[in-house]
Amino acid sequence: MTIIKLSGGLVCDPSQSSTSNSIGDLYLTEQGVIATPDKNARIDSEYKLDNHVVMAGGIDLHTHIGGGKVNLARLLLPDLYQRPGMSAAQIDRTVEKSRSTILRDAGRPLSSPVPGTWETGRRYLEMGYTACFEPAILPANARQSHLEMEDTPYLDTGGYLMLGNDELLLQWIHDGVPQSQITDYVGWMLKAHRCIAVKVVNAGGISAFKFNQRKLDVDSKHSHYKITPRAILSTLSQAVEDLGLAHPLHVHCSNLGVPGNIESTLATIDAVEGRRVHITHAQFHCYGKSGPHGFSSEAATLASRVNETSNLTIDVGQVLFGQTVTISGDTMHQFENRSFATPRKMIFQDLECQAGCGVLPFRYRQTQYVHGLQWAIGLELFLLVENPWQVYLTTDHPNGAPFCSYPHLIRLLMDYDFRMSVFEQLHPDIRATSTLPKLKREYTLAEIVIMTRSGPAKALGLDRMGHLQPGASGDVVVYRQDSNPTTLFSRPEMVFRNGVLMYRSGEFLTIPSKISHVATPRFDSSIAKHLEKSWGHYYLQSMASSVL
Amino acid sequence: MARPKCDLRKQALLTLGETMSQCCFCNLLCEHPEGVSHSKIDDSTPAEKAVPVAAIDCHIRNESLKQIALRLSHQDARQPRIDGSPVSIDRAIAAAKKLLIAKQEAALLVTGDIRTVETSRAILAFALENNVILDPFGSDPAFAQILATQRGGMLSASLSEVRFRSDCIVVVGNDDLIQSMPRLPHLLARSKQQDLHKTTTRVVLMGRWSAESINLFRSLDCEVQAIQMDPCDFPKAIRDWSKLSSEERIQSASLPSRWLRAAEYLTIVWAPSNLRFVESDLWIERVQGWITEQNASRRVVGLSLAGAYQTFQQVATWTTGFPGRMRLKCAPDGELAVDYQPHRFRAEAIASLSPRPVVMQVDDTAMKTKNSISIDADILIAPSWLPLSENANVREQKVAPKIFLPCLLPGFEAASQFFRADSVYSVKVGPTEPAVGSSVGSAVGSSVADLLQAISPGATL
Repeated sequence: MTIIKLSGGLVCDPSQSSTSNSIGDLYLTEQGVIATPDKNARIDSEYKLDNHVVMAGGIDLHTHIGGGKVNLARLLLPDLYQRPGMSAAQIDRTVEKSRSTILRDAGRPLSSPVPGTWETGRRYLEMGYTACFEPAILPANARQSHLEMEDTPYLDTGGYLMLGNDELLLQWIHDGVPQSQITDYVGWMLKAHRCIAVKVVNAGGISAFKFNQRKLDVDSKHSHYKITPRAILSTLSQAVEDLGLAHPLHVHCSNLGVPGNIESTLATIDAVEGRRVHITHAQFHCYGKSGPHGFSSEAATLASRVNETSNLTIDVGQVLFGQTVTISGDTMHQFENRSFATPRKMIFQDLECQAGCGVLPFRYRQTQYVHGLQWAIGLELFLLVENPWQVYLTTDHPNGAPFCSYPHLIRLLMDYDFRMSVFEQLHPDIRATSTLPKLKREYTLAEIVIMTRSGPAKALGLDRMGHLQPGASGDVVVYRQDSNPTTLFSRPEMVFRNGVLMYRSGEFLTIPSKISHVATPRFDSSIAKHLEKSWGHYYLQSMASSVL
Repeated sequence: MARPKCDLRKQALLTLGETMSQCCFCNLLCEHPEGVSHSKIDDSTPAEKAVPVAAIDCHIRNESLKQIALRLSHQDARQPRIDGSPVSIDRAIAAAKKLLIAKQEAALLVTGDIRTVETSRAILAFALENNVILDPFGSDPAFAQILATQRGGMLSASLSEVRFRSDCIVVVGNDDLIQSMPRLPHLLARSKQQDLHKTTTRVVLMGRWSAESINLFRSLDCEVQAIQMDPCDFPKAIRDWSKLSSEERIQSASLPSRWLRAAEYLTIVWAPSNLRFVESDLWIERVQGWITEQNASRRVVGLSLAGAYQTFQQVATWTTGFPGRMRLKCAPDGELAVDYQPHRFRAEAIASLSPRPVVMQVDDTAMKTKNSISIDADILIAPSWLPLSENANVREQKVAPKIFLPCLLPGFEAASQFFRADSVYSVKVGPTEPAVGSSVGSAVGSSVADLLQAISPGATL
């Protein structure tokens, strides 16, 4: 057993408040973090880490890194490719062209808003992330999603299974089958497709779009199945509870990006009837329709609900300015937004009686009212949710911005003056009405660690990740201290995976083995017999083929 | 045609894997009774079927099985060769590696009949180490679809969705489409269990269709109308039709026109490989543009059947960010350097460069290959080197490959994954256990990945 000692660094581990921020030593082996060894134990390597910060590897619990729609986005957009290794002058020209603040501020841009797996793994690791979770795995696409994640080096991965638009489930809810049967179905699907959590996207809405329905509110009825999103949400959240999954139902609400959608977002939270729930890319779901442009912030309303509901968590899906591509299973609303595509091309798919997808390239412009307000709304959410264990740092990569912008986003949260310097460049109507200037809160380093490490680990039930206590996985990141958070988080000095040094000073040393995190729910396996009876009504592929 | 029941065929089928329902021959779907229940391989009563269609004879499968049986029966076919003479695997590997090292300024082109995820991954890994130009077989039709989509996008549906939801299906093309995907009509026709519309599926065949093809759809309880036309004219025809006012459409309404108008979920089906005319990418772009426009008020989708060659394109896209007609290498700092130029890196064009490039052909199928490129390979990696009269891949070459390296037969001797023709679904077929002695140099053979690793000059640097 090789023992590595990291000595004298600022160890930041908010999982234990007493040691959240203190100078100390950390010991690693291939098995992970260990307690201080006996004084006679042989230390194989020691790294003196004065002026460095030590924390657990980052965990992105909502990032689109693998699966059919991600690959479609790659295929659609070769024209957005920027060759890696651009000179500073080239980057400046690109910044000028895209009017992006991200490229200028972040250390290293991606070659594309949605790069290949090789680059994705490397860039995440270069920011100190060691685990990423694909939040929208269609059952029919599960094999491809896992293949892609398998090919994403350096990162542990996992995925959330998209249910709630599968025709079979909708029919069963319509037929009023017992909850236990649906719970078993969810368990079987989760196990068969090797996912860790269940996600619902615009409950029933993707299916409704296939029946040419263009809008579906929480209490509206699906034109064919005559059931409401409320019924779907209630049923699925109960199934998640019954199965004992660590992560609550992961919900993409009904009216993505629609002015006034705060009402349906609150109705969605109510629909789960007090069960645990996670509202994803919440920024896109807390809009009002007041103000000079009929589009306003309701971040305070949603944050207030989060603050008073202990079993409600959110990730933000922050918007940052520049070119990106939006990819979502929510075909209904992606199609509605097709006129905003930049460049003007898009992909939509109805998929396998299970869901769909929409791919829409998009450029967020700093001076555009709606885009600027979306930026402000995301930050308001971050700053108004009091408990950092209930809000996670995401851009819903690549929907709000590519993940390489995280260091920039962290600086926006930690540095009020910097935040205001960007705010001052927004549309005058935003400057006149936004409450953002009044929010003087600056996130502490410990709070950032919670939002990017400890919180996501806890939310996903990853007991060995997100902290540095003995028994932790040994995914450890060392950053050089810097007063500028962007600089600090842009490039770690060292990254250890499972106690093995794999990245140091810009050099990738080795490609480690990696795992896919899956849930192992208990359910009545006789559900397979029920499924067999109905499977062929919807799917051409056999049930057996569906099992990974 | 009666199915042969020889032991070799049985052996081949036995290795198909317990979960087989996707056809690894045409990449569509197939009830494959043998694949579902191996214990009853000769039993004419199939186990519960994924696709409730009557068993039909499939010429593609029959021919493929013949190739596989030959592959398994000809020990000689698995013998490594240099200049046509049998040699040891070590000598063949050493010769291949020497050839690659000696190429110096010449380009290295990797092409071939690449159908599985595993081979695609192996080739991409090899390319990263060796600065390779990639252009697999079937790229022309694949890129007709890809380029059209990259210019204007698309609105499409997967096969199950079309079968479940579509009340009217327009199939554009000609009889070759059915020849290359014999089960397509069965898959498009809704089963009697699916009573979503309480009607039979309406099919409009547009293009050059024989009475046999038309009757095939009719025999599946579809309502069928055929419009004989040059498939090339379809985009104009459909646009002209949609420009008619409602009144004009009613006045001039033929039955197909009424069907198109009444459809709640209209599907347009084509296969890029079946669009054999110049600038088929423009054809696809125009059709996809029309489909997207139509969805402003109603539901219309496209179903493009990419065939067997899109597995490589999928893997190349997720690995590098680009589909696979490119020059690829890995810079010293580990960054990918992708030169994506689909018009420039056509295999035939690259092969005619001076100095002549070193050409490596990788086939991971024992099937006959319609889309093979007429280029003389210096190195051939393939499941077998069957007698020239039996192996279409080799027969079409002017000269036999200088070096032949035999690989395991994906899907039979090694587990393999590949994508369905509509790009959405991938499956894994083949034995769950690796073949005994499947390391490089064994009597059984090596995987493509092992062979490429062994001959890669970059891997030793």
